[in-house]
This record gives sequence, structure tokens and C-alpha cells, in this order.
Amino acid sequence: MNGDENRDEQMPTELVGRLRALASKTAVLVPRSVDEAVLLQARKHFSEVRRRRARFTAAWWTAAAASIALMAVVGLSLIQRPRYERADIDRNGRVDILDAFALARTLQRGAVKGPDMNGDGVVNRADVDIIAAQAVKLKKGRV
Amino acid sequence: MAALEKDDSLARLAEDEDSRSDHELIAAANAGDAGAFEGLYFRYREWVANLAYRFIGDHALALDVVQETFLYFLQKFPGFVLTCQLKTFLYPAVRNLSIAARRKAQRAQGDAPLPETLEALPSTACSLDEVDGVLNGLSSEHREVLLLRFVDGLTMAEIAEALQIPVGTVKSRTHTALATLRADERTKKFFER
Repeated sequence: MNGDENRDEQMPTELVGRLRALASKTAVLVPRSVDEAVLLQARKHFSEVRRRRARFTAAWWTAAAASIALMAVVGLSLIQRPRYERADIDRNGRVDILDAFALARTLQRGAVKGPDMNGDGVVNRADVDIIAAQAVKLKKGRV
Repeated sequence: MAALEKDDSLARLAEDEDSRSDHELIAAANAGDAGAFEGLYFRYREWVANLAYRFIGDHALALDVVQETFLYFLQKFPGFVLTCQLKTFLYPAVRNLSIAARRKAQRAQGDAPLPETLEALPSTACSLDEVDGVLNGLSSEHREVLLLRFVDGLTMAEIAEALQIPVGTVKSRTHTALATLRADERTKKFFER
């Protein structure tokens, strides 16, 4: 290939016109029957595509709705789970002297399980005292 | 009455050229819009028909190829991605389907098979004969490139993609074809004006 071939060579406009005229002399006209045959197939194809897509969309929405429902159920169960104060050892919904006793008994048995009320890193007598103090503390404004 | 209405609606579809680009029509067709595919069909059916005729040289077979080409194209939806010109995409399909149609017709007629090349453009009894004569003197590869470039208006890169050959080969064939036209007494005058 020489340098000339690297250019996008042009043909004289008149000759291009002749070539196009030549091609159009033999132009094939597409009859309606061919249009109808192709377009009928196209409509069938696209209606099938739409049907498939609708089925897929319905399945997708069903799955999405099921997921949302499941999440709602799990979320609600988490929300509704009773929350206890750390000091409520017996989980009866209030902190009272029985909680202090319960922790004291646990410590007496040698276990170190329980709330670290003062945050000193160990569960001991001091934590029992804090729970006891909390249990006997009067609410503000009450006598 | 119903047939008439159908004819009218087809005529309207054909006349109302869709103003959307090929890419827009393809996106709409991918979304399930049959009308967008119809727009593409009406935009390219004549080109496909004429291209098929160039390969086969028979009107009826060319029309069969039109149907087969668009049915092949239809199966690409949804999910069709156009990475080039639509002509570039359709060209190999038209070419292969034309060759297959021609083979089938030859088998049916019991003739000796023709080579798998572009048919010579049918001669016309007018002043175009001189161009026609020179063109038919070119090899099918050179004629094919020349027609794609100057009649169909494809770029060198698009022709290379359509024919699945290197751009350099397209340029070389174009150069050779033009050199032939330039040297031939019947077409030399066009280059001298």
C-alpha cells in the first residue's frame, strides 16, 4: 500500500451521481405484503416481550413486598422486645432493692456476672451499693 | 374495508418517518415499543432490499431476504446494543442471507452454483451504460467496497466492520477501484473535470 491509499479517497461528484442513479434504476420496491408480514411478526414479538416483562415485574414486586413484610415483622419484634435497665437484675421492669440483693447473691456465689454500674471494669460490692442506692432514691419532687 | 384500513395505516406508518435517531428507536424497542421497531423497518427496508438485490439479482429473492433480515434483527430485542451504524450491523446479515437464498434457489433450479460474490449490477439501456460497464468489470470485492462507500455512504471504518476486514484493506480496495475507474476510457472524463 502506498501513501495515496491511506487517504479517504473521493470520487468525482458527477460519477457518484451516476453510480447512485445506476443503483436506483434497479431499486427494489418493498410491497405492502412484505411490510405486513414483518410488522405482524414484530407486533407479536413485542407483545410477548411485554408479557414476559410484566410477569417478571409482578414476580419482582411480589418478592419485594415479601421482603418488606419480613423486615417489618423482624423490626417490630425487635421494637416490641421489652427493654430493661441494666440494674434491673430480675427483669421485672423496675429497679428495686431485690435487684441489689440478687446481684449480691450472685457475687456471694463467686460469680462476677452482672452490670458494672460504676464502670470500673469489675463487678463487685460497689455495684451492689449503687443499685441499692438507685432503688431507694426518691423521684424528684416526691416526698 | 378492513384491508383498506390496514393498507392506510401501513401507508401512514411508512410516510410518517420517525424523527427519532436510530439509537433512540433502538432504546424504545428494547423497552418493548413495537412502533420503534417499525420506524427502523421503514427507515432501512429499501436499503436492505436494494442491497439484497445487489447480491442476488432477483427481486423476489431480495424481498425474501428483507423479511429474513428483519426477523433476524427482531430477535435481537430486547437487549440489542448498537455499537456502530445500523447499516454496518445489518450488512453482514443481508449478505449472508442473500448468499443462502441464492444457493437455495440454485439448488431448487438444479443449476451449477455461482461464486459467493456480489452480483453485477444489471445493465441498463441508457447513458449509464458506460459507468455500468466499468463497474461490472471490477472484481466483486472492489465493486462491493465502492458501492458501500459511494452509494450507501458508509465510512471506511464502517465498511471494514461490515465486511469484517481491516480498514487498510478497504482503503486499498477503494484505491484500486478508483484507479481502475480513473484509467478506464469510459469513466476517465469524470476525473478530468
